[in-house]
Amino acid sequence: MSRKTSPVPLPRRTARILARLARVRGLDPDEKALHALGLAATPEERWQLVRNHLRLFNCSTR
Amino acid sequence: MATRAESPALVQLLDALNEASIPFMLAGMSAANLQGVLATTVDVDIWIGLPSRQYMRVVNVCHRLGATLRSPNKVYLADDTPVDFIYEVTGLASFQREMPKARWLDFHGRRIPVMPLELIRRSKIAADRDKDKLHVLLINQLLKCRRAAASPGKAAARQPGAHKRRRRRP
Repeated sequence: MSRKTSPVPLPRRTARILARLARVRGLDPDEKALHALGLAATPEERWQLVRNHLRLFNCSTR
Repeated sequence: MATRAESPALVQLLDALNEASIPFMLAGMSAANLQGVLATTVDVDIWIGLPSRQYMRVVNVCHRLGATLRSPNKVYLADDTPVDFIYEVTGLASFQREMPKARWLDFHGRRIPVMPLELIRRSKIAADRDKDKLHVLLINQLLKCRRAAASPGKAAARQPGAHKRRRRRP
């Protein structure tokens, strides 16, 4: 029996990782949330997140 | 090639380096970005596994892609992405020695060699510029989170002073 799997959305993957970071010491919740997002994303999603951020400030132009 | 025109300029550059048999590894904070460190960086650093006297091979590849050359080591790709070519990295051994440690990550349908976070951290500690201190902090935090995410039980079980007790054992 073959089952088609759809990719889990990034926010849900992030929430799963964030739950695992609950007991990490020395980081505040904002830092944990940021790192959870970084860990949950695929390399392409990570790249896109950073590029989107740069585009906000028009940094990717000469 | 039909697919090539649709690829981002950076991906076209990586493909072109491969086709020209120029060994390379993505380095610096761009490499850290791909491994989960969400710090902003504008330049993309590419460590080239050739002696620096052979820089013309890289320059020729960039010319073919329509990149704008600012210097032999710095180009702007067609979409204005700035790329720095590096021929040696502070704090690390030669390209040939470090290349086997590269992580191969999926990126736009191909696998690309990326400098692991531990090596990026080592090079940043050696460079010791002000901005590197922040990057080292972020890399350390992410490595800590990555370990915890990989084995949440261990992270939870770790108590303060546990490492000290372990050290006393022979």
